[in-house]
Parts: sequence; C-alpha cells; structure tokens
Amino acid sequence: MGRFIAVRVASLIVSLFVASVLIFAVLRLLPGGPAGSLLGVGTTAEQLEQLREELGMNQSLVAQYGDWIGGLFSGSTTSFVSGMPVNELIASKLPVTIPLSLAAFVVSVLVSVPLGVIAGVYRNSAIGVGVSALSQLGLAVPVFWVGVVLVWVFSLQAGILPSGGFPRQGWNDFGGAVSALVLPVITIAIAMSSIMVRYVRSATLDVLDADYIRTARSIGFSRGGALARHGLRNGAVPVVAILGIELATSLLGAVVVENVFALPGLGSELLSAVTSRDFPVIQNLVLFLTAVVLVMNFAVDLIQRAIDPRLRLVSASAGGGAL
Amino acid sequence: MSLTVKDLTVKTSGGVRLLDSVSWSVESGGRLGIIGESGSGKSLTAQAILGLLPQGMTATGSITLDGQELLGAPESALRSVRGNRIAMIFQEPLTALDPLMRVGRQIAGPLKLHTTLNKAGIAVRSRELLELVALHDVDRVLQSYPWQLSGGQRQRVSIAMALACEPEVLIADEPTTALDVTVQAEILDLLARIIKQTGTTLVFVSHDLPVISKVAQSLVVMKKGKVVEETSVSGALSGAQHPYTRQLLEAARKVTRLPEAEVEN
Repeated sequence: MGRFIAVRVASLIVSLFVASVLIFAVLRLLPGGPAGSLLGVGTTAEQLEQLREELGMNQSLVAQYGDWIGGLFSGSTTSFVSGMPVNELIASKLPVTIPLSLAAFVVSVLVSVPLGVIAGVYRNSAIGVGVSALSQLGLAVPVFWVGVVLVWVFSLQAGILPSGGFPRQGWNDFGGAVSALVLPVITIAIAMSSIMVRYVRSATLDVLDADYIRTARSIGFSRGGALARHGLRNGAVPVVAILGIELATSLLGAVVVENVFALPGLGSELLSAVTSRDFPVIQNLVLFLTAVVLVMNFAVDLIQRAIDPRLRLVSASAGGGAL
Repeated sequence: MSLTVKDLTVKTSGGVRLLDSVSWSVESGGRLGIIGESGSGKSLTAQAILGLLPQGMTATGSITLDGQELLGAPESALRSVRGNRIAMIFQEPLTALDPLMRVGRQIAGPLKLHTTLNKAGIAVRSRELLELVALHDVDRVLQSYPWQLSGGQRQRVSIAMALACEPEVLIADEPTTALDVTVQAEILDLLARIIKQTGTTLVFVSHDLPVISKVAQSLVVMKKGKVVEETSVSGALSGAQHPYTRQLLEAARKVTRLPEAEVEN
C-alpha cells in the first residue's frame, strides 16, 4: 500500500509538471498577447514594447516558465490586468465554484443512483424504459440551453429564483447565496445525472445477471437478500470509477454554467482572463483545475482498491503498483 | 427422498415451449444423469426444480420432493428448500462465486440461512466441509478470494457450499465442463465419493456421455425440450434404443478414440 501511494504521488507530480509545460506552451502559441489586449486599439509600437518589458514577456521562454513556477509557490505572481496576487484571486472565487460543483455532484449522485438502479431492475417495464428515455433526452440537450430554459421558467415566469449573479456579501447572505446557486446546480446536475444514470443502469444489469447472484439464490437467499449481500459491492466498483470522473466533470460544468448565470467563480474568471490574455491567471487557474482532477482520480483509485481486493492484492503480488 | 418431475412444461412469455412434458423420477440415493445437446432443456429443468427460472418463463406440471409439491409453492417455502434440501452446483465456478467476498464468508452463507449454528459452530462446519471436498489447506482457502484459487479448488468450494446443509438432493449442472481434463476427473471422483458417503441423491446434468457414465446410474436423454429416452447408463453404453442416444454414444466414442498414429508416438 505504501509503495502504491508513493508511486502514485510520483506520477501525480510528473503529470502536473507535464501539464504545466503544456499550459505554458499552448498560451504562447495563441495569437495575440497580453500587452496588445491591455492597451487596446491605437497604441504605438513603443508603448507595446514597454509594457511587454514590464510584464516580463521579453525574457526567454525558459526564464518566463521559471518565473511562473517560482511565483506559483511563493504566491508572488500577480494578474497582468488587476495586479492582484493570482493565488488570492483564485481563492476568492472558490466560495462560488466549490459549493456549486460539489452540490451539483451530490444532487446528481442522489438522483442518478436510484434512477439507474430502477432503470436496471425494471428494464423491461414502462418505468425502466421511461428513465432510460429521460436520460437520453438529458444527454441530447446542451447544458447552456437547459440553463436558459430554467431561467425562463423559474426566474422570468415564476419569479421565484434569481436569473443570475451572486450576492455581494457572498455567503454572509446565506439565503441569497443558496438561491443564486439553485438553478446553476440543477443545470449541471441534469447533464451529469443523464450520463451517470446510464452507467449505474449498466452496472445494475451486470449485477442482476451475475452468476454469483444465481448461486446465492440457489442457496436460499431472496432476490433482495442476494443483491444486498453480493450486488451492492460488486456494482459499486464501476460506479465509483465513473463518480470520480463525474466529480471532475462537475467542476468543468461549473466553468461553463457560471458564465450562463453570471456567477463570479473560477469559470467566469477563466473566461475573462482568456479574453484579456492574462497569462498568470490562466496558467494558475488551469493548473489548479488539472491538479484537482488528478487528485480526485487518485482518491477514486484508493476507494476502488478499498472495495475491490483484486486491485489491491494483484498489484501487491505483482511486486508493486501500476504506473 | 425421491424427486419426481411430472409433465413439466416451461414456456416463454411469448408462448414458446422450451420444455415439453418432461417426466422422470429419481429415488432416494439414486444417481440420475440428464444428457442432451445445448438447448435441449437440461439446465432449464434444473432451474425449474429450484424455482429459479429466468424472468418471464412459466412452468406447469409437477415437481415433488418426497411428496411435497414444489411447483407453485410460495417463495418462502422454496427458499427453505433451496440450499437446504436441494442444492445446486454450477458450470463456471469462477463466476458462480462472488469475486469480492472471501471463501469463508461465502461458505457460511447457507449455514447462516438454514441452521441455528453460531459463529464458532459455522467456523467448525466450514472447516469440515473443506476437508470433505479434500481442500486441506483450510486456513488459506477460507481467507482467499475465489480468483486466488485454481479452477479445481473453486469448484471444490462450490461443492462444499452446496453440501453445507446436507441436502437430500444435489443438482450438478455441467460441474466439470469448465475444467481441464485432469481436474475434471478429480472432481468427478470427489463427487462420486461424497455421494456414496453421504447418500445424497444426485441429478447430474451434462452433454458429455463419458462424464455422466462415471457418476450416474440411470439416464434421461433430452432433445429439443423433450425426454427422448429413459434408460440406464449401462443400457445406453451397451445398446441404446433411441437413435439420438446411439448418436451421442457414437459421438463420444469418436472423440475419445485417439488416432492410431498418435498413440504409437
């Protein structure tokens, strides 16, 4: 186990390094730079050059990369646009994005696990087919369109929820913050549940048809008893894998949905940073999102190993872990 | 403890007859073989006896265990029969056991359901059962997951589980088909020995005449959901009446006879 964790942490660090290089390189390959977008139309070549110098954009790429990584750890990197320290800027956006994506994740788990099990158990009846059809529909419609429809129904017609924005006082205005997140959470949860229902359904079908369930019934267990004894744990293995991916997806979903609902979170910040070519903000934000996704995958691996002894014991007897 | 199947007919929800008036009987301590090609309905017969037909299938006729009607009996009554009075072993021991549960807990399952044994009693009985099926490395096996055992060991575990509550009838559905030939022979010997030792009634389902002839006395030959011949194993081997039984015999002889040249080598 210790060895497995060591190997995985090492691979996490390598992945983050590769990701940082890619993020850095891709930004430099993009047309347009921060100086041009900061100064706007009608600036002279001298002014541009001076700003590039101030922003450190005239240094060699290696030096720029070194500055970025150094600043990442010391916290000294500042935004090109606002001059605010980037790490502080990101931290100030977390109270919107983290509750949004976590709530969306929890809601979609609570919705999709029971619905997926129902769709599997009653696969041949109207209710099972209905759930499957619903999830097809949820998959087919774009996320932002769902957001727009929800706004139209609940904000413009019913007038019970805000159409966008977040209270100025943040979570100090608890009621306001919660009602600001309801529609965005539902929007992300609809998209996520639609995918997860299908995975849970197929895991349920696998378990229902499994030979060990038949064996348990031949021993005298009831259908429900056999499923509780053998089905839950076996069904959990593939579902946990997909939950990990979905938790990451919910974070990315938040990035899109924040823009639809004008929420001041990481997503809106990222979009405005990209528009203004605010390299330090983009770099730190994307690297942060990458790190979150990688850490989640790591956590999922650990949970899966806890559930499934095959992952634990096979890699142990093979002399270590899989890289 | 006789097991009697009379006019057993199984239909799909669409009305297709998968079993058509199947009738046979096996006396207490008897050893019945059911033989037929795949799709002949032999496994379906076994499932119908335990009341575990796939969803949508319905059975009519009569299945009696020592005079007690099982067909149409309430689920609670069937559950007290399954694993307790009639037990079953399956073809593929790897998938028949739960990969995420240690062997010890799986063997304890039927004992918890059908006996009043406490934890210590279950532990003692589990060890006895593993000894019975000649798994001598008891501690390791109890602590193992099914996939950590060999195919033969897994099937021994399945047999131990089936025998846990000393059932009156043991139904073995192609229990050696998934095993390689040497292990097959070991498992057949083991089954034959245990059946003799415990006096359990055996219903042995197989497509393989040489395999069936090692354990069974009487023989039911099935084809396309019907019983085409009821005979004894020795009868079938010496000269079967029904052309299909003769076909099975000839096929078995062809397969088991090695080409001359290879034998000389």
